[in-house]
Order: sequence, then structure tokens, then C-alpha cells
Amino acid sequence: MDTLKIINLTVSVDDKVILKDFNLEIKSGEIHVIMGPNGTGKSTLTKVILGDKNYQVLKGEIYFNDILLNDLATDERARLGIFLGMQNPMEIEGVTNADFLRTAISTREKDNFKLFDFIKELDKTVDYLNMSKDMIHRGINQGFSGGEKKKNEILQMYMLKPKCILLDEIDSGLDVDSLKIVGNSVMDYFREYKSSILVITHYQRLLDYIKPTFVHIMKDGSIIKSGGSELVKEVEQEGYGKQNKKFSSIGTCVVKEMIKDE
Amino acid sequence: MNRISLVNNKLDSSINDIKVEYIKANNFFEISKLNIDTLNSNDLYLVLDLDNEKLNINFNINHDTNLYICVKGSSAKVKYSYNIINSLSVLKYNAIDSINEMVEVNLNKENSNINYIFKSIGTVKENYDYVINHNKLYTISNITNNCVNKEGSINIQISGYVKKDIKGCICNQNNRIINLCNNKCEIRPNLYIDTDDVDANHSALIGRFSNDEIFYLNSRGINEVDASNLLIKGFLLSNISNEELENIIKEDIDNNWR
Ligand SMILES: Nc1ncnc2c1ncn2[C@@H]1O[C@H](COP(=O)(O)OP(=O)(O)O)[C@@H](O)[C@H]1O
Ligand SMILES: [Mg+2]
Repeated sequence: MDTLKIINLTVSVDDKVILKDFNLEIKSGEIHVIMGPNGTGKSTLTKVILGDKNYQVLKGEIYFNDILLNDLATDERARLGIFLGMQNPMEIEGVTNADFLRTAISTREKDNFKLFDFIKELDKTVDYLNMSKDMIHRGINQGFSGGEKKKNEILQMYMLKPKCILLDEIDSGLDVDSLKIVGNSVMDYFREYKSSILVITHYQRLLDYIKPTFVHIMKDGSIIKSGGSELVKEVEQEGYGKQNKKFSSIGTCVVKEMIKDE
Repeated sequence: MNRISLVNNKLDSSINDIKVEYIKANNFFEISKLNIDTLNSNDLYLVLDLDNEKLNINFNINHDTNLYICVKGSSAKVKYSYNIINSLSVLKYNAIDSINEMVEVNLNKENSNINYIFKSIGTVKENYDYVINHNKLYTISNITNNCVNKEGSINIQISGYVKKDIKGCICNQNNRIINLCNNKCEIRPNLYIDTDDVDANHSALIGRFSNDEIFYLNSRGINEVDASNLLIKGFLLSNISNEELENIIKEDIDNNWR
């Protein structure tokens, strides 16, 4: 059983406080969904969990099992088994996806790393995600469409076999077919490895595939309401405003319109 | 592929439809001369191994040409003149310790163009001075300098000239130095343009790799050293479409960072 535990986390960037006394606990076998308006600190949360140096932790602790993450470097946190599928994956010219993944996996497996097995598994996963074979030898995310970048995050997840997975808007930029592949692949992974998963999304449509254990509504840097799937319906009908009895727009999160599409 | 090598003042060549002439300096004060004319569309690999030498290289590019240049040795002062009436692509890597280099590009016919990609690892001292002359209408220059300064210093001065009445030119300069130490590096890009009808861009960046790039690699469990090595490799090998040059650069990266 693995547990990610965030306690009273307060975080700033450029002297602006983004996360305020944020608390959350995620265990193996649980899928948590966070929804919330743009600019509320959802991506900040995921990056702070991995120790992005752009953000300052003013207060609070992040634990993975009994290990305090606050003072660990990003790569050390990742090697504990925490994975972040990013909202905007970087494009890195010249570094091929194959080189990148080989370095990541051989770092972790050290002497047990077997190049042949690695290539076989990479090929298999590229197929499974219906990605083009030649992407392996292209620069990281270089010239990838939005959807291809998101699939590449899932590919990395499958190759790295993390225990705790954070997926930041993994559904944005995906067409219907890719959404289905990504949604199902996340659920397949979840069933096979009993990992813990945190999904950030604006859209009900992703939740057609990924079935949450808990749903949290986040606003102004903290969770203002938690519940089950019924919260998604509430957001869909009322927007994010209702939850704290204030009227507010949901920004570009067109939850309602997406539902109408179906 | 055609091949010319100039190693320890000795010229060797295996060429077709290319004319080459080497005039060796008689003493330290004189400048050696290497003249290369392409007589047909061609690929040419040029190796220079220079030790305390002064050399002028004159290229007359009369047909579409792909040129690959690798410069080795201890130190040299070299002037390259590229006189182009067609299309020239240059991939160049400097493995030489210390270099003072002057590069003159003359685009001498309408629509003539140069695509120039240069890579280097700075270990001692490197000075580059480029002059790009758009002498005719609709000429194109794309100049890319990618240098990683390990422990030396690198200075790049690059000037593009487009005179009045020379319309429809494209003049791009893309210069980036990744400075891994605290020594001073400098890029001075200049565009001297006397016409409105031109598409000119220059970018000059000196710095380290971006935090976001490093964070992305770290977030996959790759440590700082490996992340930096991957980025260096990517930066120096991007757009290197020649295997021999690629292997030389790879080997130098391994020797410098492992
Ligand atoms: N690296 C950064 N530098 C400056 N401001 C940032 C940075 N990252 C996030 N912010 C700011 O923090 C706030 C929350 O951003 P973010 O976490 O991306 O929100 P969300 O993912 O919920 O849309 C925004 O106001 C954003 O502008
Ligand atoms: Mg976000």
C-alpha cells in the first residue's frame, strides 16, 4: 500500500500565494479527480509534488509513504515511483524519445537494465497506444500534435511503471479516438498495478473512461468540497460557483457544452 | 562522397568534379591558401587538422553543394570565403582547441542561398566573425551557431548586409551558446539593412538550459548530470545529418562529459 499525503501545503510563485493550506491523501487503488477553474493552482499542485524549483513551499509537508518529499530533488521523487503527466509537455530538440526513456529506465534499473527487453516493451507500448513507430527516434515531443504529446506522457507512464500517478489535463487536445485510447489505457494500468491516480480535468467526457473514487472541487488554492461522482454532475449543472455560494464563471472549462456534444 | 583532407600541411583528396588547389605558406608570416571550386552538384567532406596555422579557404560554389567540415588540431586562424551562385548547405563542427575564424559569405546570384549549421564545444578560446553579403535579389541566408562552452570562452560576431535595391532577401541568424562555466561569452549580431523589402531575424541567446527542460527530464527520474548530458547531446547533434560528423561529435561529448 502506497500513500501520498499532502498536509497544510502553502506554496507561492513570484511572491504570490497559489496553494493555501492544501490537504489531500491518496492511497493505492484510489482514483481522485480534481476539478476547478483555470488559474486555481491545479498544475502548481502537481509540479510541487515533484519538486519543481519554480515554486516555493512556504509551509506544509508532502509525504510518500513515510518519506518526507520536501527536501528531495525532483529525480529522487520520481524514482520513488511518482509520475506526472504534464498539461504542457516540453518539446526538446535533438534528444530522441528513445534516448530519453532509455536513460530514465536504465537510471532506475541500473545493472538489471536490458536493452533488448526495453526495445521490445517500447515497441509493444507504442503499438498499444496506436502511436506512429517513427516517433521513437524523433526529438522529445518535437513536432507532435497536442494529442500525440499527451499519448507520449502515457507511453512514459507505461514504461516507467510508477506507483503514484498525477495526470494534469491529460484529455485536453485529444480527439474522440485518442481520448478513448488514453482513457482506457489509464484504467488498464490502474487495474493491473493498483496504483494511486490523481486526475485533473475539466471534462466529464474523460470520466466516461476513468471512474473516480473521489472527486474534489478546488478553488483559490484549496479544496472546497469533496465527494463522489455526483459532484461532477453538480459542477456540470451549476459551474464551480455554487460550491462556495458565490457566483463565478468557470472560465474556459466548458463542461456543459461538452456534455451537450455527446 | 568526395573527400579533401588537409592534415599537417599535406593535402589529400579523392574528388570528382571538384577542383582543389593548395598553396602552402613558406614561413610563419605567410598565409596558406586552399581554393575549392565545385564544378557540378556535389557532396564534399572536408577535414582540416591545423597546428598554429594561418589559412585562407576560398570556395566557389557553382552548383548545389552539401559541404561537411570538421576542423581538428590545436590552434589556427582561418578565413573562409564562400562565393555562391547556387545553393550551399554547410554542416560544420570545430573540434580544434583554439580558433580565430572569419567567415565571409557572398550570395552572388539571384535566388542563391546558404544554409549554415555550426557546432562547437568551447574548451579554450574561440572567436568567430561572420559577414554575410546579400549581393543579389532574393538571396537567402540561414546561419545557425550552436556552441556549448565547457571551460573556455566563445565570442561570435555576425553581421548581415543587404544594400538598397536588393529586394526580397531572407536573412536569418540563430545563435545560441550554452555557457556551462562562468567565463565570459559574447554574441554580437548586427543587421545592416538598407531596404524595407527584407525578412530578417536574429536571435542571440547565451545561458544554461531552461529549468523547464531540466524539470521535465528530472521528473522521469533522470538525475542532474544525465539530464544535462542528454540536453548537450541533443543541442549539439540536432540537424547533424552526416553520420561521420555525428560520430565525431558523439565521441567528443562522451570524452568531455563522462
Ligand atoms: N511558473 C510560474 N511562474 C509564474 N506564475 C505561475 C507559474 N506557475 C503558475 N503560476 C500562476 O499560478 C496560478 C495558478 O496556475 P496553475 O497552477 O497553472 O493553475 P491551473 O492549473 O489551476 O489552471 C496562476 O495565476 C498562474 O499564473
Ligand atoms: Mg493547469
